[in-house]
Amino acid sequence: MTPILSPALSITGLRKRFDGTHVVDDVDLDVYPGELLALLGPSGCGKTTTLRLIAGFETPDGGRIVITGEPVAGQGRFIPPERRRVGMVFQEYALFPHLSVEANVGFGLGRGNDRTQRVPEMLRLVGLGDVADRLPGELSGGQQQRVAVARALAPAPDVLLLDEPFSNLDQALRVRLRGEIRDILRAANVTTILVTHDQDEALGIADRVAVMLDGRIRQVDTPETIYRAPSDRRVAAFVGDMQLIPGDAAGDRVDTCLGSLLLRSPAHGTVEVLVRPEMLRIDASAVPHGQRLTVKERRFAGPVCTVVLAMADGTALRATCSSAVDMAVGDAVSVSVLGPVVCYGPD
Amino acid sequence: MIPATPSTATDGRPAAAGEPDWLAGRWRVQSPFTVGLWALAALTITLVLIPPAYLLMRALQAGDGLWPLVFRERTVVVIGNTILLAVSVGIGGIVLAVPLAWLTTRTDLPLRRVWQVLAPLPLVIPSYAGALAVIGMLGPRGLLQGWLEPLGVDRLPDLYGFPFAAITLILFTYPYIYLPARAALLGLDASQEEAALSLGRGRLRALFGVTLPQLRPAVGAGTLLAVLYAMSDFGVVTLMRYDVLTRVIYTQYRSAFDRTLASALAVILIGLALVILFGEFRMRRRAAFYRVGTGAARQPRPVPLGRWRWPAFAFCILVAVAALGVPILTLVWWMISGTSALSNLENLPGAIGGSLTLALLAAVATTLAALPISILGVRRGGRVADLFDRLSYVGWAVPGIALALAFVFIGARYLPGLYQTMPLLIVAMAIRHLAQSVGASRAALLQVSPRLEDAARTLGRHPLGALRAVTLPLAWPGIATGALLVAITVLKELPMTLLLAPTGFGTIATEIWTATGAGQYGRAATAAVVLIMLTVIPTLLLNGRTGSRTRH
Repeated sequence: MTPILSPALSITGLRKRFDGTHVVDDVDLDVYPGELLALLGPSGCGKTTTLRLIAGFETPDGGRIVITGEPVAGQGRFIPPERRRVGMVFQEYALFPHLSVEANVGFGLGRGNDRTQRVPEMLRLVGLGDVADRLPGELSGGQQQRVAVARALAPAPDVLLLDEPFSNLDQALRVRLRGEIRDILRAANVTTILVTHDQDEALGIADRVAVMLDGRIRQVDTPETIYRAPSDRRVAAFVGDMQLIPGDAAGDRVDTCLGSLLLRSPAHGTVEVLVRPEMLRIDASAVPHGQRLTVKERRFAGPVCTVVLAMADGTALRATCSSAVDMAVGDAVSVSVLGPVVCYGPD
Repeated sequence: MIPATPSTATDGRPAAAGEPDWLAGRWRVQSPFTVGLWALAALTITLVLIPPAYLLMRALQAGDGLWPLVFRERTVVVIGNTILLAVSVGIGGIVLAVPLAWLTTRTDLPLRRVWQVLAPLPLVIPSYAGALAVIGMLGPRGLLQGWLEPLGVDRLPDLYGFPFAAITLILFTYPYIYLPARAALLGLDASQEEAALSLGRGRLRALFGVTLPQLRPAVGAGTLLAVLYAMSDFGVVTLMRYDVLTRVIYTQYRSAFDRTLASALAVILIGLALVILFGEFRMRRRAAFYRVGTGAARQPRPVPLGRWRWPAFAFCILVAVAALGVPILTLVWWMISGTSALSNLENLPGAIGGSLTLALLAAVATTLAALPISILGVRRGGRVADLFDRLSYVGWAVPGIALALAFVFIGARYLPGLYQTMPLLIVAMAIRHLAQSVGASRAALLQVSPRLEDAARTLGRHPLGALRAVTLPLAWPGIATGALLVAITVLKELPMTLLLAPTGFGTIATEIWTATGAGQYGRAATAAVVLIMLTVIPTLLLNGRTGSRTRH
């Protein structure tokens, strides 16, 4: 994303306390027009509260929220939810059970032309033109979700908020719908914040990911950067399998038991280097420059398997490899590290 | 959820625009809509608290002169009578209701479905109409005497006083215990009894050791309701001429110039009722713990009654005959044969119109008064909202006669323009029945997820619009059920109508009262039959509704 555009949503210094604890603690966040940003964090990290602050269901204790240049909360202003032009898709969809699909989608529209054209347009967008007369209770979970998206999109909101939209669906449906919703949002070209606790979901769907831990945003970046270059140990542990090995950094290289590795950004002194299991490539045929490891355990998991390796000094390392590679416990192997690495200084 | 009390921000940042940060944060959320709700709820609660507060003040004004009045022998006897009657009704009700509930849910009792319909039905007979029937049947010149006349019996002994007041009240209030006991039995999972059996207990020991103890909270709460009803009852004790607090308060009000004693007795009555209501609250809270699962408990195979099958059947017939058959047949007989019947019906059409008007207006007023309280309780929560919810029950703890007395005093002294007008009568009715309506609308609102309102807000509706477009349509069936419940209760209400109705305005209940007082049993019986017919339809509607809910 190009930060030259002015943000569609801008949050600065946002704070919210419940019973004395800061649920949202000094949050800064900019979301750019048309962007899909995932707000990722474990349950209780404050991400849903942040969403409700943006929607106007909660009032901040400090900081401000600006939507398309208009301040909606903070500094003595509070615009109620109905005047914020913020759409929301709720975790349980919150479809009105007494209204038809058509009436649900048209709920946020005025009467007249606007409504008669916009509702079918929205239903076509989400591929539900044929169920317009049904009640929400007669739809499948996936259909309900698409109705909820159509309903939120119908009034053409400036910002769309999705609160754990896939958590009520079973695994197979979840993955399929993720792609569908992503395409719908892209077609609607709407600025979106998606709240989720699911790393795969956030990394797989978003343009950018904001990782939130204990009420604070720890890192905002592209999914790839979040995963491959997490800003600190906690982000690294939250978005993937964290494995740290000791190293000695000098400029743009670091010396480790796996050899001298290229650093993403320069560092100096004693550090710990993040080596995710899939960054290790196992070479069973050759044993070059001295480092010998032994296969201690092989955990088979369908397409891939996780191999536990023991170094000469007994330290264990996990590596993922294709399950097509034949390997047995006790084999001697060597490993190489793929790509540049990140490291963390002492705490 | 938003904490109710504002707290100052301690972040140390200067707030812009010259406004404290916390002010923007906390008070802005109170939209005009919410402020309006709070104002309405506060007004209603104030109205609820005024009558008992006024009676208390009035009684205390007598100062030192009060205590000799209250503690003279006659007053103590009256209080004793009140407690004796209430306790007897509670015990008698349990004796009828618990076996009935068990027999109709758990056993191979013949015609089980029929008894399930009949057992709660005595609720539709207003207890004073029941009393009228008992007198008409067994009274000195009742039906029985007529049958015995050929045998030379020209007068039966007087049946008035405690035993008949108690028997009448038991027969027409036991459903208050039967219904929760049955619901609790249906809620218990069969596996518990089966577990007891598998652990080597006999059927009887499983019943007494496992099943019945779990009914205790439900039966306890129901019993306290019946006791509260007996304590507040005015019609039965007056017809049966048994001196309890309600009757003596009325006599004092009618005869004495100094109304201090009436006020003091009313305060004592309210105090007793509050104790009962508090007990009921606690029982009910405990009952909630016992409810197992989602109500879809598996029903066990019926217990074979063996040689007890036919005695149990006879017991059910006896209860149905006494509580339904005899009263209805007696009233119908008096209606048809009473010499005074047909010549004295000119008041009845007006009375029916009056009853329906009053029931409708009171139901609407009560529901409107209850909604702000239940909406705040369900959606906002917090200490004040909870307090309002509790206080809405105060009106229910104030027996009708006491509430009416308070309004007579207040109306005569401060509101002469409103005294004995429909608006004041309806306000009194709304206060008395507020708890029913708050309870029903609260339960209905709890069924509607707050997310639906949130969704309506993000789609551009302001809070009132969201309420109207989403919450009320969804909660409507439950709210309407509450209104229907209030309407039924108001149809049967006697003392408040008697004391507060505008001159010339009558209901079926006051018609029965007047006719009985004039000794015109045929006229009274006709009105009673009409009243029962009017209440039986909505009651069956309600039973159908709650019945289908418990089955899910």
